Amino acid sequence: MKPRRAARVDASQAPGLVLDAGALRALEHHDVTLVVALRAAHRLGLTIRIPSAALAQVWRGGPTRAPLARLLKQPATVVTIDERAARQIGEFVAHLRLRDDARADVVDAHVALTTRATKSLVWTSDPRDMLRYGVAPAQIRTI
Amino acid sequence: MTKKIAVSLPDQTLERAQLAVQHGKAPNVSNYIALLIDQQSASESFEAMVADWLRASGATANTIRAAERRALADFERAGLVPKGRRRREAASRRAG
Repeated sequence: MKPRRAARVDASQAPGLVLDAGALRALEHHDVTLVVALRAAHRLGLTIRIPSAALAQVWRGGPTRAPLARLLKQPATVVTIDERAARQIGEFVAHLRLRDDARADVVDAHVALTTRATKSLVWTSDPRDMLRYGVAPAQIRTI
Repeated sequence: MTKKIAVSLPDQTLERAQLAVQHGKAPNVSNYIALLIDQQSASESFEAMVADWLRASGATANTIRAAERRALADFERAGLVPKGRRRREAASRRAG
């Protein structure tokens, strides 16, 4: 039996950690608070989720992405956008009332929806974005 | 591909494995043992990965402990772990 790799399907709705693009970038610099939080989450059996859109924002290949590549080989869950999720994100964005004519960002919406749906804690470099997308303050951890 | 080997298990351990199979954790005892080994190796490699990152960060033991406390506080605030768990664990560490 092969070692368990990153699951490509978000099979569970169990709470855990969600990492946005800012968190993934911080991981590449071995941000201590994030690394320790990942270890604590792992030891507690909490799911670590990486929305695929956030992954696409940071993934450029090459050796600097080595930490992220290692995490993807672990039992972290990459939350993919299938047709159903794409519709949910689109409908969610359509109902948003953003100030200052700000344009809705599909990646942020995916991260926020994943956090809300799983009642998780999102690690983000831009907490205002998550608040705008309706994530509760207690569920936001700023990098 | 699989290989057949003979493994000796204490009676109670075997009973627990059989019970796990009855509860649907795995189709048979062999698969259950393979599953546990797999989970354990994944877990060890996660710990090894994190240890590498912490070494690379150059963080001191104090910094890491402070980050652990902060992480558990964040988890409590988000409702990921029951409130008070952090205090119980700290008390348990002090006790022993």
